[in-house]
Amino acid sequence: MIGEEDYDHLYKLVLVGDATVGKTHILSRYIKGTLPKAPTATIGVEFATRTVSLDAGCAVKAQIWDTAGQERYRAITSAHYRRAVGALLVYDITKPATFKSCQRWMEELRSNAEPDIVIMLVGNKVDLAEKNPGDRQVDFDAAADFASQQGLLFEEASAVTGANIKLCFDKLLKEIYNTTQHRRDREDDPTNNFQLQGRSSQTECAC
Amino acid sequence: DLLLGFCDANSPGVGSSVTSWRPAHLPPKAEEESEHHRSLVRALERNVQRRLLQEQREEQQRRQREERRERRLQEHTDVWLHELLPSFVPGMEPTQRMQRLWRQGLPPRVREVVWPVAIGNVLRITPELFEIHKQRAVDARRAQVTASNVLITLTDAPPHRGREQSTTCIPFDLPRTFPTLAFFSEGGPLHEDCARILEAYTFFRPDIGYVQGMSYLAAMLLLYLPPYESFVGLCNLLNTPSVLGLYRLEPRAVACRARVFEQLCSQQLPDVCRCIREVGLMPEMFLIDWFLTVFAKCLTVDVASVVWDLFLLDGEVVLYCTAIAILRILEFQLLHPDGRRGLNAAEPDLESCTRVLNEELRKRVSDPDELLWHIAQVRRRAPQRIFGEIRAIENMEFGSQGRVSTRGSIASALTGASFLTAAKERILSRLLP
Repeated sequence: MIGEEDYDHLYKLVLVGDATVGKTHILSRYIKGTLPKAPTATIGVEFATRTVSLDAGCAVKAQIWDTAGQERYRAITSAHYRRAVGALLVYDITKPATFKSCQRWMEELRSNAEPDIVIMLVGNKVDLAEKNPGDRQVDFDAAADFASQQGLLFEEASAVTGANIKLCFDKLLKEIYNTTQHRRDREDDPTNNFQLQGRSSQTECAC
Repeated sequence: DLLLGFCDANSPGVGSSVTSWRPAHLPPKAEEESEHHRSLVRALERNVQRRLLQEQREEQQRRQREERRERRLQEHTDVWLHELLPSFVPGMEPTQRMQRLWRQGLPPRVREVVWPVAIGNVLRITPELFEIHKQRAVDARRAQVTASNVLITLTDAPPHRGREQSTTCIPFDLPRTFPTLAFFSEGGPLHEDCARILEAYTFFRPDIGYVQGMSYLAAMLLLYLPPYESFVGLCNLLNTPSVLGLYRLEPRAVACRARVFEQLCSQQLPDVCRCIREVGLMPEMFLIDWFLTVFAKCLTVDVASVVWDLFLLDGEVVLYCTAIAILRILEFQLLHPDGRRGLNAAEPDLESCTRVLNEELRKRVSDPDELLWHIAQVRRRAPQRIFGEIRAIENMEFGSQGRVSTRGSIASALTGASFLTAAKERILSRLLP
């Protein structure tokens, strides 16, 4: 177990996707290991952190911003994408419309977050398809194709069973680490890295 | 050695027999040493007893407070029902006595009468209008079911065509509204009513549509009022500039309110204000949630209800004062996350602050009287300028229409007193620099 304050990099991640795809459940499963006891709709933004160690032997603190999914909230939640270096873009494999929206969410992310933000596409609620294969409405292959076309990482997962949840975050964090590392090596400029430098970098207001 | 001898010693009355627990293979303790150890045990016992007594005392105090509150509510119910309400004409200025009782929180039964009067019906909603919009929503749902191959998306709703599609979100949000009460989940006693009211509103105001957060407003009204009155309440409540301006969810509207909040916060709670800024917590992160639901989501129903009482009496200013009052109650936890002061104490950070605001808020802000007391304090200390700024937001967002409707709603339905004080404050705010 890593102490909460011992970390080498702080990465800001955002959780986006249509309403009711299970963003808050995914976050709760990842941070607390359980589902929310009294689930409520996220209004505006919520926030949690977890420190993990990567294979490379460095500790990374993931600062995860959970956002309201409803379209009407997009104007205010997108202000919180700033400085995000990674995103979990979540859809519900039993609802094709939530998958269709991913295109728009990506545009939203690419125009409001860091330009080379690493995005992990997550097809949530596989437990439903395992219970009843007829519930699956988005093919694994279709989503995987979309992800590779768009240059996204991709996993299917279930916040309810916990399947693949940790894997999603681990892969995303590792990829962010690799890209920022690569950037640092290439540019060789210590001031131009993508990690957040603790609290000082967060004090500016979005408005 | 000490630990071996005393590991079970914190049950009371064992101090004298401590040495007899000593394992046989160890040499006996010196008398001086055992006396010292016995005194340690006695100190431990005293501490435990003191803590137990303290807890008992707190529990007793809490019970007494609750009983007092119950008794007071019972007395107030009688006064409201027999003395105040019979002579109360909607639109008339409530008497000083009525306001004094109102500000202590309305008895639950009285809300059914007072809330609709306080919210009013400047929109002149009729039962027929409610039926028409309910029916439209039902028809639209039927059309969607028959055309089930058409994808219903939660996101693709071109604004110029109306946002009626946002009703698809309602069934998902109801079970998540006051989840601990289970009134609004599928099969719950208020589920159907709540869904119909929200759908009807969506068809009544397709420019706004259903926005997440509204389910809390409808649910809160339904806890005290019948369905039609709740619908009238929801439409008119959402028509007040303070709430409507927020539900349009424009970054500018949110930012304006956050600035007013920050001013009030820096004046009244400078340490908290600095702390929030330093850890990188933006007030919008919690204000949107608090204001859109008028605190119904973050507080327990009992506590939120008294905030609603005040909000319906005094308007938007109550949102700001309540936000500051909550932070006043949480001040120590925000500034001292591990409960200690001093050099070795933990510094607050973004995580500790969000933890306090998300997880500890409901537990710590659980006494309605305490919250009301803090709100009154905040309000008394608030500079006049703030009241002017709050009204300026309303007028800016809705132009002259907003001003007319504000005046209309307050004069015709809310309270003459609020209207008069509002007018006085408006004049004052113009005169003061």
